Amino acid sequence: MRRFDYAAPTQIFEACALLADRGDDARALAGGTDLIVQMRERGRKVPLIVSLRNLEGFKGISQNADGALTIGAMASGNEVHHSPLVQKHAYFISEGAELLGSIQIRNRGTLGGNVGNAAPSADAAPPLVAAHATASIVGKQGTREVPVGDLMVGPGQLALEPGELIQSFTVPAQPAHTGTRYVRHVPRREMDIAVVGIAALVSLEDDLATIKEASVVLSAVAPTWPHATTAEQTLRGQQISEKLLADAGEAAAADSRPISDVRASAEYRRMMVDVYTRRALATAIERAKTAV
Amino acid sequence: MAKVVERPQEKTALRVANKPVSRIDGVENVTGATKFGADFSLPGMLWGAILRSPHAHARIRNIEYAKALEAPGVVTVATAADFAEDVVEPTSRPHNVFAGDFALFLGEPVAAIAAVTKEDAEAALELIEVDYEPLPHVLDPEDAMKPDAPAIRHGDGGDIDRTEMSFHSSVASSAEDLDESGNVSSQVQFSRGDIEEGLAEADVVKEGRFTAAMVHQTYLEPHAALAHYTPSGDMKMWVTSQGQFYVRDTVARLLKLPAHKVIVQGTAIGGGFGGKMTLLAPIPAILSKKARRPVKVVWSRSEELVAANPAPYSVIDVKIGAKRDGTLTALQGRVIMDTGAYPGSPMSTATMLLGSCYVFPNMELEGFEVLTNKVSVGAYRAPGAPNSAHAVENVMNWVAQALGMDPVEFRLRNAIKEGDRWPNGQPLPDVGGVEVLEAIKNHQVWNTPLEQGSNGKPRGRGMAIGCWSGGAGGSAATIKLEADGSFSVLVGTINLTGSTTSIAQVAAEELRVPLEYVSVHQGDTNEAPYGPVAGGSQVTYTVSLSAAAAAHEVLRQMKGIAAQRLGADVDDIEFDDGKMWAQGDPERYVTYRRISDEAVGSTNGPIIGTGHGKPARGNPGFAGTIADVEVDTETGLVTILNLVGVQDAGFAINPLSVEGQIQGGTIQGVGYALLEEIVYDEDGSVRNPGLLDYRLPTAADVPNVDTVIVEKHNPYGWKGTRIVGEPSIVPPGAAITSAISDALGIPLHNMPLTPERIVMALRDARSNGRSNGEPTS
Repeated sequence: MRRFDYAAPTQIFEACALLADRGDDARALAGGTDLIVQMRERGRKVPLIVSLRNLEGFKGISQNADGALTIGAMASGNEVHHSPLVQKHAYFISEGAELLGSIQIRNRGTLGGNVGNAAPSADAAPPLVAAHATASIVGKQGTREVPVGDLMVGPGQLALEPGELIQSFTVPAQPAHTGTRYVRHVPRREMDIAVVGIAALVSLEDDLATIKEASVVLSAVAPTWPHATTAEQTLRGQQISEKLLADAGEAAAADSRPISDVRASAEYRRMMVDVYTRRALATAIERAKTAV
Repeated sequence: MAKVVERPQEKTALRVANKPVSRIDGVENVTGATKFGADFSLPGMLWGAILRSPHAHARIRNIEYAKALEAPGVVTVATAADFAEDVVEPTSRPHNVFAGDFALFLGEPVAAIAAVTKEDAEAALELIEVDYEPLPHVLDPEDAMKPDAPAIRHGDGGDIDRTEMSFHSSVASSAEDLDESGNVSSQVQFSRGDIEEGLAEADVVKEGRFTAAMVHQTYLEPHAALAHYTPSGDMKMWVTSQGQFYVRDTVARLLKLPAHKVIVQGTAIGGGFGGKMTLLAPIPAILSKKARRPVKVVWSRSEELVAANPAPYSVIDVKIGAKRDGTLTALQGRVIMDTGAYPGSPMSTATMLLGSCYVFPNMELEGFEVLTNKVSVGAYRAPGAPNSAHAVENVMNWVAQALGMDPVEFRLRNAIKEGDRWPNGQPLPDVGGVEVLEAIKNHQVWNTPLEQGSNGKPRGRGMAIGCWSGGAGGSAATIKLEADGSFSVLVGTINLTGSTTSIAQVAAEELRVPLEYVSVHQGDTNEAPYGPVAGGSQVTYTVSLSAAAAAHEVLRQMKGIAAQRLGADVDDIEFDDGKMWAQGDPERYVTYRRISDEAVGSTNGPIIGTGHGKPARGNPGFAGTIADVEVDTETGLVTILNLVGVQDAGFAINPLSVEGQIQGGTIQGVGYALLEEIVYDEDGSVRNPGLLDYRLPTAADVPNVDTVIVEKHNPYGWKGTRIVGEPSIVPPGAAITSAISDALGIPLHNMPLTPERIVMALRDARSNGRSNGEPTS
């Protein structure tokens, strides 16, 4: 591991200024479960690390007056996973957070870090995209709101200016009869990384047999966390049936743009998008039926 | 606790041996108090870092490191030039600390730097200028065997040093060592009877071509070594290694130092499994000799996965024939083993082991060790044997199915026994293959029909057996009687598996004292008597004999003093529980403590005894596995429902330790079967150099491993002891893959059976119209 400088400012403007001034030479530390490993094992050089741990307004999980949920970027994987608010509001965000590494890793790793690391295989980010969450971005120019789905532009790349930081996420209130599910395919049961991940959100009509709205977001099968738009269109307004879910699975597979790498071939990934989309939707629908 | 299948022999006289005992060093280990290799430091110490070849194959035209020497903190640089006389190609890896004129794999050490901090050393690596001429490379052994393949060896080289592989197996395995040519660095053949006739008289013949991936031993603790070349010319070393004397001899040879001037303390070791020998130690040694300061080097996990010495990839063809009544008639086999950039693979053992469990009247086996531009391979727990068992045992199950026979009955009918011959012609001593099969036959899991689950996922059952010859090296142990009547034992072997606890049990049993009265110390190479490498499952097998002999020598000296004091004949002295007395008069005794006092005050001086031991021969250990699985056919994910490990331990000195070994080996077999694989990119780089993508099974992937210890007396071991460490890893890969094959109704030929391989095999079977058919090949 190379030498690096370390700063842990208490003021947001200070953190933003440090990061802006040093550009590519600086990285924000929001847990370090990706960054530090890359520096130790893969020789990544980061001359300046700016820790976000002392910043105000980056922590905590709370419900707003309009029913939306705000999750601080520095909320740990375990905090998000165990939060009753998150579980009640959008269960699949809790499910995705539960898959970040091990229990120990989840004590360090954060939701903001998972999004900020911008790995196509992220587990906690796709549910945020599927739930139409926005990110509050702070920088020297002030604050702006960006849909999480627009944040990632490619592996390791976010649509942020130098010195901008994700402060929190806002997850809008969900309609009645909404159910969610995040599920991923991994060769081993724990301590793994998604080969395919599917975040599904389904809102039903009052008849509990018709799909009003569906959101299907893919992980690890594209350069970003895209919506499977054809699959979503396939589902919208349709009666629930096995065939519908099978069609949605096939559509999602066609929507995916996987690559072959050490974890799986593109062909296998596409097959798994089909299987897991079907399974994720089935669970989300079951949850929607029992949701208040 | 393991179920122990009782031998008929009388065991009631035993007080310490054959009893389950927690590891004496256990509390220290689990509380983090134990000091492992990387935990040792010295004042003024430098840190070393290693520059590695970025090419799979290249000529090294020049190395220029003047700029690196000027970098902050850098003290010295070492290259192959520092070992100039020893670089001979081709030869084994331990002779090539650094690449010489050629880099033969991506990751091969080219130079090393010693600097004040680890960061300084790593940063300065970039300043070493190496002029490489990249050469064509070859990664697949079957490609490497083609006449137009790039030649990996340069020049005609010297003899191949196979010392390291010989530690693991005491049995000469090659019937006929054939000439090597091209990239084939070794070739063997074994034959018996007439293979064509044997196949002709068979009613059923099944065959398959099997691959087993390159896997890493993945000991928890990476390589680490600290060397201090002192002003008086001693090379003092603290090294995590399975063999401190082997490290000493290697460093002494490479640095041209007398053996007694190289003083190696083998530290507590965080696993080795055959892979932790001398790869690293010469580097801090040469750096320290040049810098005249202590130097420590600790590998990262990625260095381990790219450039250590993993277990080999192999391609094995097996064809087996049997008569309708279940009698085997023929075995044909061909092993292609990828040895990587240097010879030294377990190819000949793997080839021979194809014919190690059953009597085949006709047999034709051939094996090829093939060089490629990948990291050179080393030993991994029963080296080569899991690969062989994977092929043979799957085909045996297919033959049994085609015959309509129970696979255990089929095996019992043909199981190898005392006096039968292995492919190398050696008659076997009394092995426990039959007893292991009977333990499987009697096991509750085997006798409970496997019911299909309600979730629609097919279930299957597989079983397999396997064996391992093991080592039988010579050792010595020294025992002292201490002032209070307790004893200390000094050995030179590494406590890799809890052997220290077993040795303490042996000494306490022979000396007739409670276990708490005995401590075992592992001295450095100058203090301790010689002991062999902790490999080949041999430490407890051989040191139990030398420790018992040392105890006998100490007792002989003690009896002399007791006889004098009691006025009795020395031959009439009896002893137990820390006391000695003359036969028939146990009330008038002398305590061990008093004997110690008397000895120290006598002209003979204090009591100390050294014993020597070497088992008269190796005696193979047999193991078996039962596996029940459930397969998600859409995703290819496998759930292991039941996993049973059976092993013949001869005489379990510490049944708790034996059970731990069976569980550990079986779980490593799960990794072989389902998850583990080092994957290479076309350029020769490892694509998964970390424990995220090199997948070990986690606790969540492994069910409880039910264990059965069989005790078939071994006449060459202490009270019947046999080798224990290795056999348990041999059959589980075969049993688990066979269970998956059974569940899906299709033959499967690869390890590991990753979810993707299973899904693709099912798809191929469907397109061939053979789903849920009879497994044939």
